[in-house]
Amino acid sequence: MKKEFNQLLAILEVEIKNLLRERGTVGFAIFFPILISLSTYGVGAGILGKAPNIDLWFYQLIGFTILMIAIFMSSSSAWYVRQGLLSRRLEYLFAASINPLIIVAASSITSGLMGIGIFLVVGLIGVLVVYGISNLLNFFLATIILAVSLIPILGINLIVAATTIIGKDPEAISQPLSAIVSTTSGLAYPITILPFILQIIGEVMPYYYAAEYVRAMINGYLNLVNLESFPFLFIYLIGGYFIYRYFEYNFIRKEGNYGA
Amino acid sequence: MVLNLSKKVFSKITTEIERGIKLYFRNGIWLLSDIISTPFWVIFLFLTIVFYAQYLLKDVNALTSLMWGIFIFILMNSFIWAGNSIVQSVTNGIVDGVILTNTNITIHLLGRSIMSVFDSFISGIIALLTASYIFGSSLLIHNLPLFFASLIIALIFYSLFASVYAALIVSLRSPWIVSNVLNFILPFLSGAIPPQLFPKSVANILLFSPFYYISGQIVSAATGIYLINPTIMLIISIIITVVMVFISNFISKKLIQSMSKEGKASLI
Amino acid sequence: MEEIEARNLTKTFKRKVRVNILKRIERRIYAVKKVSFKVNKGEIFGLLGPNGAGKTTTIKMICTLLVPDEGEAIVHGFSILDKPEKVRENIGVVLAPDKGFYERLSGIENLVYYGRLYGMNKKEAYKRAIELTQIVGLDKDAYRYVEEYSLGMKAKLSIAKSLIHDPPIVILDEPTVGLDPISARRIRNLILELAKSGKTILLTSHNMWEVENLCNRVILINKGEIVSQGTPRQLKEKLNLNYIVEVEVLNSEKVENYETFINDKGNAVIKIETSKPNDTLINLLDELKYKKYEIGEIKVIEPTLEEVFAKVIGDEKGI
Ligand SMILES: Nc1ncnc2c1ncn2[C@@H]1O[C@H](COP(=O)(O)OP(=O)(O)OP(=O)(O)O)[C@@H](O)[C@H]1O
Ligand SMILES: [Mg+2]
Repeated sequence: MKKEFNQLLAILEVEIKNLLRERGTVGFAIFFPILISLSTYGVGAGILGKAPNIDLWFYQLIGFTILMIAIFMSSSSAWYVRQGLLSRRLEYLFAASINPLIIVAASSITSGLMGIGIFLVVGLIGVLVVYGISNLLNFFLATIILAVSLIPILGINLIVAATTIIGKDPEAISQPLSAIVSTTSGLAYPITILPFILQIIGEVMPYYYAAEYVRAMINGYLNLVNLESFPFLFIYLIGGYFIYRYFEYNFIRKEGNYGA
Repeated sequence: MVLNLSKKVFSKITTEIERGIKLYFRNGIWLLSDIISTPFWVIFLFLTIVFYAQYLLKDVNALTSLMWGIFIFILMNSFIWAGNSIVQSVTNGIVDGVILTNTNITIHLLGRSIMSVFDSFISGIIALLTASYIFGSSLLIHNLPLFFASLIIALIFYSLFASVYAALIVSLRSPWIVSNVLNFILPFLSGAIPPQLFPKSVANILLFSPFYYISGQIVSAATGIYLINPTIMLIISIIITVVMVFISNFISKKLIQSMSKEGKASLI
Repeated sequence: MEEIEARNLTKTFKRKVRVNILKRIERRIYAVKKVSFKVNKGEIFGLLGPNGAGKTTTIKMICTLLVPDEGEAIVHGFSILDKPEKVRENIGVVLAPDKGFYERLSGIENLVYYGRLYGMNKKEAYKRAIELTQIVGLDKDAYRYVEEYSLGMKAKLSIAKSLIHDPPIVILDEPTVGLDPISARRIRNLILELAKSGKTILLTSHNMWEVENLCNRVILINKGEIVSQGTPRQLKEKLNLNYIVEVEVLNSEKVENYETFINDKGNAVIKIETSKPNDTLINLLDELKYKKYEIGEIKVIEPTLEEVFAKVIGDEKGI
């Protein structure tokens, strides 16, 4: 266990260093939710002929930030696997006695950490603009809630990583996931205005809860009753783990399908 | 001489287009991915845009305009990524190979653009069907000949635009960021958000955007809602496209020049 | 008649390097400095040099992908500066052997694609592509997607690509890199045949031995400058480079008339420096046999490129 932990730390360090060099990516991830939410606010103002309620802006800001994090996490695990296979880096890592899960976990944790960083910056701006300093403590608690909510999402990333092994084209795989998540998770609008079947999809996926919990926490509404469905989401982590193992064993190790 | 030259260019164009079609259909997973994603994106865009004014969900005219707005969004999106693909072509060494055959880079990018044509066609139709099924937008096209004319103009314009765009971003460190942002700004400049929903003075800002005459024309032809006289709009769109031919030719020459001077692809 | 003539080719790369957030400095890399040479028709001409010597940069200038800062080159009678299109028509180029292909097209399809861009019609291009894939030894693999190719298969495909429009001049940057010995020999034979059929060949290599066996003439480049030129033989003579022949003699600690040392097995090893290793070895073995020595391990150590450079750079005056 200690060995695994050390390996995880080693990969994490490299991954984070790598990520920090990608300043453009980080800047974009911060800038984009602000840009989109302001634009839709502007459009709303244009259509209504008056400034809409600023709470609505905050609602979308948080939603778009979480969307950004979700897209970032799923596409980065897809890319990680794909590039790893192409550059044969994964092959080396598999050859070293490392549990591949550690590798994927490390890349997901990296993007998760980056996601939390993005949330801290964007969310702080939003909270200060809308609520002033009074809700700051709530905001920091919300960040912790977000961090916990990202754990089941790791499970989904494992599945993305697994399918990338066969599908090969990472964007083609993370794209539909992003589309489904964006639409059904109550990020840019409440899921109640969705057709029923899409609401169900939203409610079984972890992203919806992340957004709802975070908003509720910032507003000070969150209580334990709200959290009742939370433990079930960890099924994703466990399910993701087994699916990943299955794919890794059957498609990489057995068939020598290291990409190329 | 001129005839001979154009024959040569024509054969290069068909070569590139054939290559693009082949590659497009070999990328089955992308096709599948698009088919799955598109309906979701359509719903997402609709609801995000009407978030502040949910009463619009009952306004068929607005929903129909919005549907065509999303249609042009899909089209432009596809061509932006076509332009973005130059980055790969350069790192793959394909651009070098193509230059050595004395082929214009704009012609080379046509091969990628043709993929975008298919792509926007397939996704576009899925988008229209989704919007009419879920939101009840009307699929009737107001002026069919003008609609097809404007569609063809747009496809030509954006193929050229993709090559200009490609030349501008190829040396950037993270070109995909610019592509994402542009992807988002361009619909605003094109009238993808139905301009009639805004006060006239705000809507008229669109008349300063060349993209409006190209993309907005598609929406107008389909819905019958115009900001200016349709004939004038058509003429302007043709002029803009012709100008684009020259710009893209100029830029792609410049790109090759700078590649050969600095040993890397860059204009900016 | 000269097919390629380079005159004072010079290229400096300028790159902005960020020192800190505010400051960027310009760094200059003098990649090629006043390189001149001439290649005759039907000749195989080699550019030899260590990593970063400027071989690829020189080649890129000659094939019009890079404009020289100074100097000029005439290729097949056309100036690379004034008539680049004409130059491109007359050259076939391999730059990075694993690049320049669409992964999701087969080898043949890639070749046909380039052939048609060179102005052939589809039928011609197909015929030529099939012919070439046989010549380079791709055979059935030609119909697989390039995605599945090994490095060596890609290298073969690039050589086929460079020949698709049957150019009089072929320019190859490390054509045998990544090839197994048999494939490499096949490519070398192909290059020799091309030259025999009247094509002019300019190639680069790290491999002294390869250059020796292929090239009629060679220039040696280091840090962007020509340090020596001539036929491979002249080059070696100028450099006074010798092979080392080592022959182990079993059950003996000394051999008459020869300088020896004792190896770790306790046997004597004869060590001779020579410019003609084959002759030396045959004579030596004959003599040893005649004297009834028992012969153990035999080694011929080739002069490596590093030695060449050590020699060239070590000698301040140049050669
Ligand atoms: N596009 C470029 N930008 C900046 N520097 C470059 C560029 N291309 C080459 N150089 C530099 O020019 C010098 C010569 O490089 P070149 O590729 O010509 O060497 P080479 O002899 O081909 O080496 P190798 O044997 O490794 O292929 C090197 O110092 C290299 O770093
Ligand atoms: Mg080189």
